[in-house]
Amino acid sequence: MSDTGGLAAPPAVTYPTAYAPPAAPLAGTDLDPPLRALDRHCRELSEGMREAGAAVDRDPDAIAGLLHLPAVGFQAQGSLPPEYRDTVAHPAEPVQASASSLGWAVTAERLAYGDAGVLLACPGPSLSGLAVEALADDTQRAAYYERVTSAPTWTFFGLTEPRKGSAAMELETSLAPGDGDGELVLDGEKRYVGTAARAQTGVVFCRRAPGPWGIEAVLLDTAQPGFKAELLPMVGLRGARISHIRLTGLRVRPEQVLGRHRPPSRRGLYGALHVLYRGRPGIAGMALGVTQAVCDYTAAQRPAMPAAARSRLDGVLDRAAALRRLVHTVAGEIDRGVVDVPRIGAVKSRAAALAEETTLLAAELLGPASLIEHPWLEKAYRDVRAFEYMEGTGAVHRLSVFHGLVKGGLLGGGQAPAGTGQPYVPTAGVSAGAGARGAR
Amino acid sequence: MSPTAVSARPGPPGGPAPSGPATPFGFPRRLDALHADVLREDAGGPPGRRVPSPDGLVLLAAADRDGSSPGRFGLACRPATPEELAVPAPAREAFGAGLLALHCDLVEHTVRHALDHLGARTSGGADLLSRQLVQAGLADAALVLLEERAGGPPAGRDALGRAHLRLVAAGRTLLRLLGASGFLADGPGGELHAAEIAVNVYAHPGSEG
Repeated sequence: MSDTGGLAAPPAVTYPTAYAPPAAPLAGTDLDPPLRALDRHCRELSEGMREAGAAVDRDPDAIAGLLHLPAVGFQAQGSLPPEYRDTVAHPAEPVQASASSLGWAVTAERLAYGDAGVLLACPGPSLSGLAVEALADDTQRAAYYERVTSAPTWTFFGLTEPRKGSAAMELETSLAPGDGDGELVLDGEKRYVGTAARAQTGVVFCRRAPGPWGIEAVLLDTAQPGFKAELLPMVGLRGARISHIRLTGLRVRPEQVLGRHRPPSRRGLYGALHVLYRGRPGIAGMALGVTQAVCDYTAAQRPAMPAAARSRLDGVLDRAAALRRLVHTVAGEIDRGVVDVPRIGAVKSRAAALAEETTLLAAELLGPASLIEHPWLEKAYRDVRAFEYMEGTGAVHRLSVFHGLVKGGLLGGGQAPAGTGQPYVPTAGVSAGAGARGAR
Repeated sequence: MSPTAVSARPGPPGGPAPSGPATPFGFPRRLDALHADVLREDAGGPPGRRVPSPDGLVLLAAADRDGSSPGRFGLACRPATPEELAVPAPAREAFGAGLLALHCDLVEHTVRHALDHLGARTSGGADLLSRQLVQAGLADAALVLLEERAGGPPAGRDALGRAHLRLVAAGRTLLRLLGASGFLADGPGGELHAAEIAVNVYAHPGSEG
């Protein structure tokens, strides 16, 4: 062992076991044939992602040298309208199957089994594409997709702010009238925004007027004067390139305001919530992918595990199967236009918590200095903690679950108990069109 | 050799108050200081010695703590030298007790940081400290600290490991309250990760037997 040991991101990390993701559909899945084919396809694509993950963990910019990996190109295809997909490089059937929320949850889990950091480091529309799909007019949409498909293009989704977190209703970044010609000026800060320090374009949410309908979403080019983003040093999941954005007198043309053709109630805030709700099943899928990977790694490393230890690991797999079923259920509901906010948040937060518990358990079961002797485990141990705060923290989701309980629908019907106060009114009832990852 | 004893579970640290969002705790540096304290009285020993883990590893501070180069999270790990493997049991026990105290201090530092940080964050017109969920999380972490510091020295490595795992859980509770800021490598998230690595190396419950 070198003097820097397993903590140090040595020049080349090799993982000691053969990469063997489960060939059979994962427990808890009940997928139709196209989704089962997608599941198999993504399993094959995940080959090579662990080595790529070590490189990206060492240097997030390493993703630029990994664009040849099939998974890197594939993951974005389902988020593109059919006319913009690369039908030469990627088979049409799995791409089409991945284009729904359920398809993305399946894709995210299988590819995160390989490496979640690589998945989040990839170029493509990601959450900004969901915002464009939800809000943009035809001209904005065409310009956006031509841009992101003409060359590898990284994008960002700028909602979270230093003082207000992800509270969309309270954001402070301002969009004010400029000198003339309808031009606007953007000022403010965004923090903990994935990929912003590498991105070429992205969406920023900002306030143009008081109140919930005073929020706007603008599509920016990061080369515009007044845009500055810097990478934040994060404990793990470094491929996500979590960044801090400073917006100083950035001039916004009217055509950069997404949804300018829509009424205020169907623009900024609507778009932010639309994206957050739809992003959560994918994060849950990633958390379950790493959970499964850690369980498989632990079992492979310790084949003669005592019964008590094996039982603890099996308990994780039992919970993963149940959560997988729930993730698929809520994602399928989104595809049918039903957005059950408390349940979506519940499965995301529980999957994130399970991933964290699993890495703690693995570090215990693999014995003293396991986080030194198993560099891949040490990386997973760091990475999974990011799922807790991505697309809303566990605390936010627990409160949402409580509201769902009071409302009476969380546990599958029934009446709320007497004396629980006012009926819960959701902060945003968003209905989606059916059948697409970014349905309008 | 007669190593310097390190108090098992001190109260709040007597030095500068480790609070405030910009105040690093300095876990790697304090870990090195613990090594030095424990081995101080062994004047005849070779310089640069550290206390080895039960499995013959040494964890020490590295120069670079930016999270991107050798010495990630401020720590480095290497096999113990023959001289280090000869460090006697009393010194190793003192190191174990000192590491537990250090972990307690780091969790306390994080509690104070969380109070500052969450007190400065507002939502819905009120600071986050006014939220019962946040109050309960902070109280839970504080209760773990009270309990660990009230106990006597852990009896054996298993007990020591269990005590650390309770502190790991308390630290994770605090980091969850801090949201994304708890995931910054140059904040409590990075320091607590370094502490968890140290626990994994020196105080893993499986080290006994």
